[in-house]
Amino acid sequence: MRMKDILVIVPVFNEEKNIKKVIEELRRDLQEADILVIDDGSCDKTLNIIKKLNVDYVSLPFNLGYSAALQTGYIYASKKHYSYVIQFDGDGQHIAIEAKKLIDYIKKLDVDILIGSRFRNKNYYRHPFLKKIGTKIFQYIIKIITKVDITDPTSGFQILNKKIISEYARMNNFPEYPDANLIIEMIFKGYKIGEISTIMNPRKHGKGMYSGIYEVIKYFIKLFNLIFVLTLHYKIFNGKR
Amino acid sequence: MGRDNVRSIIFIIFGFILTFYIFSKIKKKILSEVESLLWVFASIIIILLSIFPGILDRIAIAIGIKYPPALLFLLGILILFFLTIRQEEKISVLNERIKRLAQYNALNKHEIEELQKKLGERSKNE
Repeated sequence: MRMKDILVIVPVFNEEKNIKKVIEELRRDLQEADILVIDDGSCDKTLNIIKKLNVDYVSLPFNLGYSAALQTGYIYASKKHYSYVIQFDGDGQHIAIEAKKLIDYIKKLDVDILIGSRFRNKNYYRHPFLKKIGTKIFQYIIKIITKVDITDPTSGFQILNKKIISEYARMNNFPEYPDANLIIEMIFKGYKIGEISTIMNPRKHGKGMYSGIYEVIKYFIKLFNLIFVLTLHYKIFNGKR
Repeated sequence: MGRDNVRSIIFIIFGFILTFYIFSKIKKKILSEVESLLWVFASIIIILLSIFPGILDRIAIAIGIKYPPALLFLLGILILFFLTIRQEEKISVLNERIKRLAQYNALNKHEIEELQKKLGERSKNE
């Protein structure tokens, strides 16, 4: 079977309810790409469903987390010499047809990473208030430091080119929350990052209060890491000048 | 005076017991080389302090600490802090290695399955 140029990586953890729909949608609407599901040590029926669907998959021996699962996809794509990788969530939030836009525009805009943003087109996506503030803060920080305007720095809906695939595959200590600080790091390394407006399905509600506090803690960790990485790189940057 | 002597002897004994304990661990190679050096250093200090408790008092007063045992606690806490950070470093390294192993394990499994499929097809054709 001839291998295509583009790989869609779908990291999943316990998505027995959604994975079938996601794969069927990808097969129907995104035929220009090969699919690789990365099972991140699911303990429900996810792996059985994946096997029954006869889709290409990789199964991690235990749960490593979203970013490590993604990185497994990058290593795979790098070994098999794919030209582009699309990150696609297995929970049904991302839309396959929108991924076509990513493919078109990464070539048109000549960037290394293209992010699909929920927020470029104002007002259609309902975002919880606290999260909105968090996103705005990251957007602001990125803009000040790099002058690049990223309206949705935490969006996992991205397409990456070959250079990025190989960089991520090799990266030691790939960040556990790979958004704002990874974006800034890649800009400092000289890569070009673009953003287009895409539509996503609304996120299904979490477990109420618990999920809210957890998200806030995550944001603080991200913010802290961001500032830390920045001061490090800023010094190096200044040194070069 | 008598009580001080008894106390000194007790601490000296403790100092030596601790030192022997550490040495036995080093002998069994449970502690790495660098760790061993640090612990030997620590046990020397403990023995010295237990033989000459006055040292601690003098240093404390010289620094301006009115309650000399507080200096001991402070040093102990700082040392534990330092050790904890070192352990965190090591845990991070271990985690990264485990992550890599898991990723390669998954990718290798995948490759094996692909090869098995190819072998299966070949034997069908033959």
